[in-house]
Amino acid sequence: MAINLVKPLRNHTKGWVALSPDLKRVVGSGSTPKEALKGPRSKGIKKPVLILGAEDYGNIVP
Amino acid sequence: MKIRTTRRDYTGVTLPFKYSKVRSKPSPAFPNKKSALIPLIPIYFPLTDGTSIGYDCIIDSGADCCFFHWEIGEEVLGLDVKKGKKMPKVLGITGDTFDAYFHSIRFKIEGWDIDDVYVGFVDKGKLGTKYGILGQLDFFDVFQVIFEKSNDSFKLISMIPFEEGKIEPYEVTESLKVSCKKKTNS
Repeated sequence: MAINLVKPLRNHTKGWVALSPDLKRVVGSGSTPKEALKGPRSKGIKKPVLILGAEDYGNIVP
Repeated sequence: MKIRTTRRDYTGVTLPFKYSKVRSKPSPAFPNKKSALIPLIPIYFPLTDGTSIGYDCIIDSGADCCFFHWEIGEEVLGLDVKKGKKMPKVLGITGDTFDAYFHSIRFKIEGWDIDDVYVGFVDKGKLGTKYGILGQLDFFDVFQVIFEKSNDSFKLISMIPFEEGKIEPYEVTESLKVSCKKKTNS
């Protein structure tokens, strides 16, 4: 089964988002990686994962 | 590019991954499409404080090189991105161009330490994807990638011999330093 990022990212359409190490929930967000990581790092989350928020991740050609 | 490991592994080791399901907008061409499956993998930058910062990247065989966001270079890795070797006017699929500044960096993929990877950091706001790009140079050079979309999965198979050892962690940048409030006993 695919990793579901639709659910955790549903309210994040812009800016940087820090996901929990298991990629199941958002643990921080902000306009920069620094802002997005502030919360998780201060809480001792050791491996947050960064991605940018977007309205649409699917209709692109990278 | 080099692959380091503290395990006694050899060439041909396979790492399995799952596709990521992401939000997608319906359109007249695809009126029922609400999501898409893309081959993302998190790479990790180990830091000297024992933590790591992950960064989701797409495996993109159509990209010449690896390209990451500017902010990852500056805020996470502590690079002076503009001091890298410039590749001007990189052409994206839409015809837009951007400048990229290349640095040799290191990161982890699962249990593998990947050293000496040449990555272009792209002008702020110019990298069209919301994740990093792992392309031909220094990624497809060393990994065979097998996509099994019908199974929601893909695999990386290492094609070069491993070297013993680990990558050096990155110093924690000023951007990432966390100030902890001191507890006071009343």
